Amino acid sequence: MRFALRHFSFRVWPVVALIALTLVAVVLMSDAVQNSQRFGSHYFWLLIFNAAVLLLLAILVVANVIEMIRRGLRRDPGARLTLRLAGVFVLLSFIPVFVVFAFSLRFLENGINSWFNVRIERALDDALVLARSSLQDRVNDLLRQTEEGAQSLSGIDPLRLPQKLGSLRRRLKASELTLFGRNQAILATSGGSLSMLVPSLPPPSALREYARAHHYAALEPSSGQHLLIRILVPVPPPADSVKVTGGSEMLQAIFGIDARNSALAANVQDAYNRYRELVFLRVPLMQSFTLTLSMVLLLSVLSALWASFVLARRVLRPVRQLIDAIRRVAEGDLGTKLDARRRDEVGLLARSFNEMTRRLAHAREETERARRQLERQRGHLQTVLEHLSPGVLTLDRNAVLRTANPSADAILEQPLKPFFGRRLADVGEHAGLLHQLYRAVEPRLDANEETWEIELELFGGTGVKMLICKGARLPESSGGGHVLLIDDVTALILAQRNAAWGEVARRLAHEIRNPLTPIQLSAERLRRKLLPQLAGEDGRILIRATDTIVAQVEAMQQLVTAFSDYARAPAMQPQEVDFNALVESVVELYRAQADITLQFQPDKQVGLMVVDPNRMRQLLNNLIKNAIEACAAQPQPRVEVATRVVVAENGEVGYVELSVSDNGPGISAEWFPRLFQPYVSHKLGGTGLGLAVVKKIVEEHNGRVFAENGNTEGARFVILLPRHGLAPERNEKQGES
Amino acid sequence: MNLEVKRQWRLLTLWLGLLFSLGAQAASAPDFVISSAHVFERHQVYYLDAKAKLRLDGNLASALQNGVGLVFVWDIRIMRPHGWWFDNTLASLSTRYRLRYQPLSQRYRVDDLNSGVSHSYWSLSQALQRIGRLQDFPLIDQSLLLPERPLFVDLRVRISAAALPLPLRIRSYLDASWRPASKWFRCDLR
Repeated sequence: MRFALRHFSFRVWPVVALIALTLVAVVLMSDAVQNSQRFGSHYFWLLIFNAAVLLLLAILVVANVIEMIRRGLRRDPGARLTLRLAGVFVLLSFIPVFVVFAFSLRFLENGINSWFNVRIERALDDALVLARSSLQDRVNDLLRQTEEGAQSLSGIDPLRLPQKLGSLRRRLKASELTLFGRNQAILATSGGSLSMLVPSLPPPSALREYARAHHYAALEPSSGQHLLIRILVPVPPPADSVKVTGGSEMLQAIFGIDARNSALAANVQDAYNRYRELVFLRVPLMQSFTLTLSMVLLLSVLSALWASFVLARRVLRPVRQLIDAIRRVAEGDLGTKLDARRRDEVGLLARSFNEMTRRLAHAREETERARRQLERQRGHLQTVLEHLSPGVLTLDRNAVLRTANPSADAILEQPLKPFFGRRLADVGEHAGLLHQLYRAVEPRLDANEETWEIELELFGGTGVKMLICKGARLPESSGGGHVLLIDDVTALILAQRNAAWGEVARRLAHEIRNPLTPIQLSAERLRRKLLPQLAGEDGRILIRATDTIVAQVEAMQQLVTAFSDYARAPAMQPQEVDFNALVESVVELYRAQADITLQFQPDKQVGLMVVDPNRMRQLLNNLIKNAIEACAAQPQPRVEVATRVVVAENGEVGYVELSVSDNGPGISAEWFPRLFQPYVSHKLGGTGLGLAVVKKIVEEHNGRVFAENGNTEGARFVILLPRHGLAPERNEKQGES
Repeated sequence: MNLEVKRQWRLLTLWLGLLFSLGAQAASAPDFVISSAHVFERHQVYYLDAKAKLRLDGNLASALQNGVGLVFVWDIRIMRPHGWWFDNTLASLSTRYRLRYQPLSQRYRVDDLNSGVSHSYWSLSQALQRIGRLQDFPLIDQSLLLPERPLFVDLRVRISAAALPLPLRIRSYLDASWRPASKWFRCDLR
């Protein structure tokens, strides 16, 4: 209750007090209207006060209405509800108030009209006429008696006058007799009471009447309610007297009317007066009552209006707060709390609401925590993936790239982010290694195996890449798809391969070189010992045989040397050189051979390249020599060397193509697979290392070499060298091996 | 309903009339006119003789005929002129008469409410004549006034609205003809 009172704001109490005060004022007003002497004199101020209060209330109400409409237009929470509720309150209060007002007016009118009655009015009139005529009869009677008495005074001796006047007064039963001489001088008087020393003088109006009619007889009000009858008659002059000018003596007789009759007459007069006054005041009285009643009506209506606004606001305040709170919760402010101290249903609602927001907040907190944890784990995983040397790619069931770690970017030589969300089947060749990778793994993806592993050889901007790609199917519960793990093993494989070949070459050289010298020495010794003993044909045979042995041994030694050279390849010494000039210098060496056409077609765009010039010369030597040898049998042998810049689809300079082509017979189909393997030669006297060395050098430069037959004739060896790529660590590895 | 509407209108006009007439104490009707007044000194006391022509209009006369008593008030103020400022009121007096009609004797009775003396008259004009005449009305003792200063007497006669019956009083607030008053009349004291 204290709570409720406290909330009954300071804005409300003064108005309530004012209304109460006005109510009191209205009661006093109605009291005053009912002829109360107490408040009659304050009526006007009560009226002013009430009018002022009503004006104030009206202003309050108008202000409330404006405020409410403003809120409604502004769509404040609950404003329309408040307006509607206030409207209902107003309707509920107005109808009874107006009904009561209408009935009150009717009753008032009937009530006031019921005071008046024609018969009562007639009776009062009659009573008055009766009283008047009865009194008038008495007046006439007394007038006659006084006139007789006046005659008896005619011509009386002035000395006997007081006595005579006294006896006459007693006879007439008058309360006072006075005889006036000419010019209204008092000649004698006789009064009933001793207290009255001065006789009552006739008023001027009576004298005027007397002068006009020679007598005067009238009922006159005396002090208080008393009435008296005043009679003035002339005293006739004695019959024997001389007619004197200047008028005669005048006798004034005053008769009191006894108290009872006086009171009765006064009562009749009072009643008559009051009734006449009532009749006269009927309309003003009605107006006063109506005014008071209207004031009450206005007070009630305006108070009801004002109270309805206040009540509507008060009743709907929890609802408004609830709406506001819900809006705030909807905007995400879960800290919103409602005042839940009330003990009614609204309090229950507020408590439920608070509980709901609390739970919501709790749930959101939980979710947030879980999300953060997930993020942390994800970040952790991300970090692991980022620092994982193998590239990791995830594809969904439609082979759409979802994620890839930075290692994958490095291995596939491009940022993969732009391809996220794209089907790998749709990315074209410009996607480079990614495209190649997808083409290679596509069959395995389609096979949809649980796990698989393949080795790939891709050719990208930095040359050949050997990759080991492992795939695993992702669980269907997480949407399916695959995760690919790609490992760049180029350097490793190269190193392994080089090491293996080196070892083979070294062993071979060692194993072969050892018996060669004894073979050569033995053959020379044979020749030296046996030649003198043989002659003719035998000697020639010996010479030829030993020559052959020696020559072949020397050839073998050369071969062994070549092997050991291959095994003991010096460290790469890459440097920036003008690639075309380098090629030109080598080509120039072979121009000397007159029987062959050697052409060089440089591409000016090639420019500077980072290569090991010695190795590159060796490579060119091997290739050009091979080509010359291949076409030597042709009637017009021709070798063409050309450089060309191959522009990648994305516009960057991709790699430099060096091609050496001849017009020889071409490469037979059975050689193709083993073309670049060591110890494979289709030439007589070939070590079988020429193309192997070429391949080795190309690989050392991260390049690729392949051979192809021309359309009509000859073979063409193509070397693709990365323009800028020469991975330093691979060089180091190379150097170590 | 029509009756109700009429009543509401009447009420409204009444209200508006009330509100608008409050400030405007309408100019006194020319029914009451003071025709003469003079002050004279006798035995160190100032006396006032004054005469006013009083006439009751139809409303008041009919109220009188219908038993409503009317109270006439003479307001008398002894003033010291201040020149540029409001005049100073040294003393104010009033004398009151009640006029009633007595249907039984068919006379008009005038009660001097100061002295309690009553007189009755056959005609209204006589009664009004009596009320409209001040004779030897003692004003103030000479010793109470500071010498050598010009002094004035302001006087007027009016009908007291406060003494009307309440229903008429409301009307009198709204309608000045219910409370006629003469203009202030000024005469020299010395």
